[in-house]
Amino acid sequence: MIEQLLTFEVLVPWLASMAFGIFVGATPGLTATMAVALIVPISFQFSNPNVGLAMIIGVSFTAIFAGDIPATWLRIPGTPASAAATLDGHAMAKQGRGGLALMLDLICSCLGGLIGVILLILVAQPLATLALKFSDFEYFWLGVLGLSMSALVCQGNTMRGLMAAMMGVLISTVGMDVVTGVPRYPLMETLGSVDLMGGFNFIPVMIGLFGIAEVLRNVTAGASWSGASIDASEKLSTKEALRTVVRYKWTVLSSSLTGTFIGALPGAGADVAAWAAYGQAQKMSRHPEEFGKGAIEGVIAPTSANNAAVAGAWIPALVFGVPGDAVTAIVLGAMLMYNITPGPQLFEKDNDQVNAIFMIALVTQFLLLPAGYLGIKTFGWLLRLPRRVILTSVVVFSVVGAFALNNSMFDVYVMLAFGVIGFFLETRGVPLAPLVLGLILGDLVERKLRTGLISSGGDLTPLFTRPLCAFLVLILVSALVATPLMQLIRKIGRPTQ
Amino acid sequence: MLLNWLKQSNRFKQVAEPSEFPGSVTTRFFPMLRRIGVLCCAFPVLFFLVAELKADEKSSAVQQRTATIICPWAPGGGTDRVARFWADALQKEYGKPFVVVNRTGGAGAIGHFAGAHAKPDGNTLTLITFELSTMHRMKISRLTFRDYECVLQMNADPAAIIVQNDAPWKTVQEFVDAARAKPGQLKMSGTATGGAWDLARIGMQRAADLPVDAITWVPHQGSAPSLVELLGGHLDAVCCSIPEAIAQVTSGKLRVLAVMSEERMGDYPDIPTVKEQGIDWAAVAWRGLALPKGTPASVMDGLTDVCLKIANSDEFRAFMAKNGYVLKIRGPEEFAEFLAQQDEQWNEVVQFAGYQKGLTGNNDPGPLALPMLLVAGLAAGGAIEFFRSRHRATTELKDDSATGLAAAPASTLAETESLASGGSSPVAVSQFGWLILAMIVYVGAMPWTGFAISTFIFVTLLVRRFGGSLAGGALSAAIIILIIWLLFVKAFLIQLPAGVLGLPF
Repeated sequence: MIEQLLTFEVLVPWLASMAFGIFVGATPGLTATMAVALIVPISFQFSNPNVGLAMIIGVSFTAIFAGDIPATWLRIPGTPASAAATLDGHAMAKQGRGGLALMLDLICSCLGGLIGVILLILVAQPLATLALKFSDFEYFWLGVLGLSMSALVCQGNTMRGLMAAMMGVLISTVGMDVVTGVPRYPLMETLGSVDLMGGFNFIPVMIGLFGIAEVLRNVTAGASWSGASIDASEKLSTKEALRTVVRYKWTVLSSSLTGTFIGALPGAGADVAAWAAYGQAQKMSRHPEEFGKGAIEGVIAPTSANNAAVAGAWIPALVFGVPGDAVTAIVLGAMLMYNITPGPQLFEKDNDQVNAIFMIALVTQFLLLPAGYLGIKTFGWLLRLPRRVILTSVVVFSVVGAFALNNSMFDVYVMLAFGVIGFFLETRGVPLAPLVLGLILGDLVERKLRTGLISSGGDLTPLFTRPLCAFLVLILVSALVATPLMQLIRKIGRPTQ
Repeated sequence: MLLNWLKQSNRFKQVAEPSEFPGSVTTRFFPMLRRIGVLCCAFPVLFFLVAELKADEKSSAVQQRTATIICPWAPGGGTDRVARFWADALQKEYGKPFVVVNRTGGAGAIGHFAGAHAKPDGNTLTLITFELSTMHRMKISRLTFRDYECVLQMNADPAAIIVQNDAPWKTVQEFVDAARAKPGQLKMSGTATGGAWDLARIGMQRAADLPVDAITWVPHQGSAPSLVELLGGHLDAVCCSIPEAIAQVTSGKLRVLAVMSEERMGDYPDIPTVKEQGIDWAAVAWRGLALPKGTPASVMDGLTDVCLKIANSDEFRAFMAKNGYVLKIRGPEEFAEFLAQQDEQWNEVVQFAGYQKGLTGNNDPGPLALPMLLVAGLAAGGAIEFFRSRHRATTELKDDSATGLAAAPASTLAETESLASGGSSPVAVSQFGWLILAMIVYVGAMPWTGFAISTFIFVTLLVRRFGGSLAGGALSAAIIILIIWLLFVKAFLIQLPAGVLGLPF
């Protein structure tokens, strides 16, 4: 099997598509979904199905990793799944350890993906069956859990974090109602803006909140305009990164397991996985107070989880033919074109095509190392440009990215407006990450709660009594209570020390 | 005006940056070089713009601009795949680029609206879908098929009722009887409320004389998530097209009760129709291509011929079969007739369902419940934060010796304050205001000047303003535009705003 893949004819388009994935992932506004949608027609040009599948799988994994690169250096997440990297990854970059953070990102992305793929191979079927048990109310709690996690991780600012999350959800309610499809606010009908009726897409908002707000922050901070914007001169030390990963091996493992499982849920993706893993790592850490200030675990956990989630999304796709997220939905369409019909029968007999997919997914993780290394290097080079050029380019690329998503100037205006809003929110100490997650998950949380209520006939008890719901509520409550409780214990414990 | 501004920015530079920078040394000592530099840098931009224009000139008059196909649904979905097939096929026929533009949102209303209001010159096609027949009845949009020139219909997918393999019902009649016996107990899904498959099952209920609320419709985003819920046992049946569920049906997990077509389908001769089972009803979801109303007849006729040729090709047949669509080709007149008939058919179903009044009810707390809850939560949180911060400000001095965890909020607060104070220094404020103004002018001018020109000016002036040389600014601008042109325009086929000057972008 492997010798069929490691030929010149397969490797060249494979690596080329991974380089493409790095570029797309690192550019805010170009999403992994878009990258895969564009690579599919190209992959059909090759008669060998292995080439096509390798290109598609390669793009999806690299794009999610590459989103961490601009998140770490510039505090602009390249993909929604890497919003968590704007916390500790960027904090490390500011301390001049950005290179190490990215090397950790790269190695952990590879390990996370590897663990996810191995789980996909070994326990796809039982996992997918478990994922099917999730219904509306479970997804509702999962969404709430993701939101609370992102709010909780803003150290000492839980209230503002929760408020930011609520603001995000509120912004997501603009436009059509998610359940009935009617315009939600009567005002909008009178204004007659068709664009506004479509609501705010979270990608332009995210670009604005992080990209433009960051530029504004730099401008007002009165920093010098000619020097490099951030110190990226540090040598990339593979040895140190490896040593660090070994030290935090349990964080990598537990985050990858969480990531794979969340990815396997149809309806929750890499973005939720990253936050859940971040919160989990913080709870398990011996130094939770360092999170947000450049904690190693805070870098490792989300990046392991989001790549594991990409592999996890394949589980329901292959077992039941139901995609876990938008990317796998496209992949599923492509697989049908290659005459692979997903379903339980794929796993029943020793299927060459399935083995090829598994092998490709495994090798992709190893190819990610050189491809990602080059990506980090290239980006590091770009950062040596004078600060004024970098910041100006950030504005231009933010504009293009916001426009490209939907070919609409409206998204550009939205992006700029939220850039200014984000700047002012930050000066008031409101964290932006929960706001973005609220915007992403608001739709899921509301839709699932309301469809759940329609389904249960208006009865709220299943919301707490369904076994999986009760379990999720337990996690949520313990997460909410743990930090204040720890503080209390420490306060009581202090005088005796 | 411009000179005046340049002087000001020079003055500003001396105030804000008294120290020397290696980057600006050249510009101060060699003003000549700087000017040559500007020219050198501007040259590549001009060069590739001219090259692009030349390339366009060469082709014939009809093929001047890149054409677009507006897809009202998201990338990766079924409709998007169909749109991309058409873009490819038309590109081969015409030899000019056809680009798929996904204008999503508003339950398809936004894309359909954009397509109907595009310039009627034959350069913007819309992939219209089933929702066009129903959304004006449900007050989502005022658009109807009469706002378009219909080109052709390409498919008609009959709805089907799908259940778990071990479900107790063997026929649709048994399923309907079960619903009649226990009104509201059975749960179905397949789309959002008021979507194609919801209306299809309501039409069936109407034909079977079964009240709408005898079956509970649980809204989901399309057939795939609904099938997951069905597999998990959270639903009793799903209404969608057979190909959408074929993977699970062939693997023996799910079963098709009946299909809502006039006759049995060629690909699935074993599946009975609802008509055979005594319910006089048929429903299809369709897709088609359309041009904006008012497109000249000559353009329309030429395009129709080409589209019909593609629709009758073997490649298209194979593509539709692989993606599980039931081919149904209708030309312009037939398509318009079909749509007029659909308009009436679905009007009756919408009235029967009561959807013309709105889509809420059914134990749904309604569209305004969550926003109101959030506003209340934000108000409460804001009040708490306000008092807490006042309290903190007064106690901060006393509590100076706080340790680790307690110090964390204080330090973030301090950071916050330093940020805010950083924002209030006069230099920073002027920088801030200037940048915002520049961005507004940049983006505001883009639809008129086109992307390239406004970006070139914006980048050059911004770099200059922030202490760089004009040459450096122009060079950066040229490189940025070149990169964007290569990656976004050439590789991703994104149509950046072109402006009124006739530049490609």
